[in-house]
Amino acid sequence: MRKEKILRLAKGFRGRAKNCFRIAINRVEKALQYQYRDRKAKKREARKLWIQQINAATRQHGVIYSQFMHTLAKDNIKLDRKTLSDLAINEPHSFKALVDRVKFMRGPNGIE
Amino acid sequence: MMRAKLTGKSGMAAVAPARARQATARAAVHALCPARAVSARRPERSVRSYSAAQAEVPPLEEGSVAYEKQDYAVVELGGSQVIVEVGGVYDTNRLDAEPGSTIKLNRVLLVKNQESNDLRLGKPYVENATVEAEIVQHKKAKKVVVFKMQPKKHTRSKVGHRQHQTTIKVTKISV
Repeated sequence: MRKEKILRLAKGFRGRAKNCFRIAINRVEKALQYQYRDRKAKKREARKLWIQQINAATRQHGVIYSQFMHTLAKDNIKLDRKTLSDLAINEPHSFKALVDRVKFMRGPNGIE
Repeated sequence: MMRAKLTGKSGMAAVAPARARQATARAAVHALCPARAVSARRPERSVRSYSAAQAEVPPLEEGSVAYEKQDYAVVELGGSQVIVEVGGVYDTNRLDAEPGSTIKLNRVLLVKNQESNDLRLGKPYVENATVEAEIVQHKKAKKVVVFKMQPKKHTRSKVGHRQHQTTIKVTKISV
């Protein structure tokens, strides 16, 4: 019964690790440890991705990410990076409205 | 599907996998809620006004088709922000309410009305904006196995975890 459970978790593994218990148990334990580690890493990776996406989108409109986020924070607009990147991808006009708000708050000097 | 073309330095490679994830997530919601499946996400019409400053938005590009899309709002829910539409179905952390009852979400960060092209930004929350939702069901998430071990040290621990969740269906966005 225990062997069945382990081998079920070992589906898709390479070579004997998917069929033979004594080899599978090692790989399954490693896989579970990686899952624990990567559940935490997933959140970091997601945030990195959002930041890159927001940066790309704001630069299209002539503002850089650091100034965009700083001005939003000063303006007390508390949209998080996940939402901002979602808006930048799916609601480009709303996002441009946000960028224009940032440009307005920064004054006529523009970026930099 | 028209999308904003993000061609910044580090943007291009990063955008594609996120779109695929969003597409599958959106497909899952469409399956739950037929009303939402009808209106796909499309580029918006120009924004004419919002709470503090005038936006200059370029006209829609030639060849892009502006489908009728739903209003949306960004709500703080379960410790995170969610972009909600009327008729949309969302999972959050467990709420203390009966299935079938209605709840009001008060922390609304952004509201977009497509018909009047009105975008409201909150500082941090939009005044007098609420989102009403109906509790569909309570459920538990898929089991996550939390496994820790030290090799060669005769220590290991295996714990299963199922997060309690609530499915809500948004019925109304009002400002």
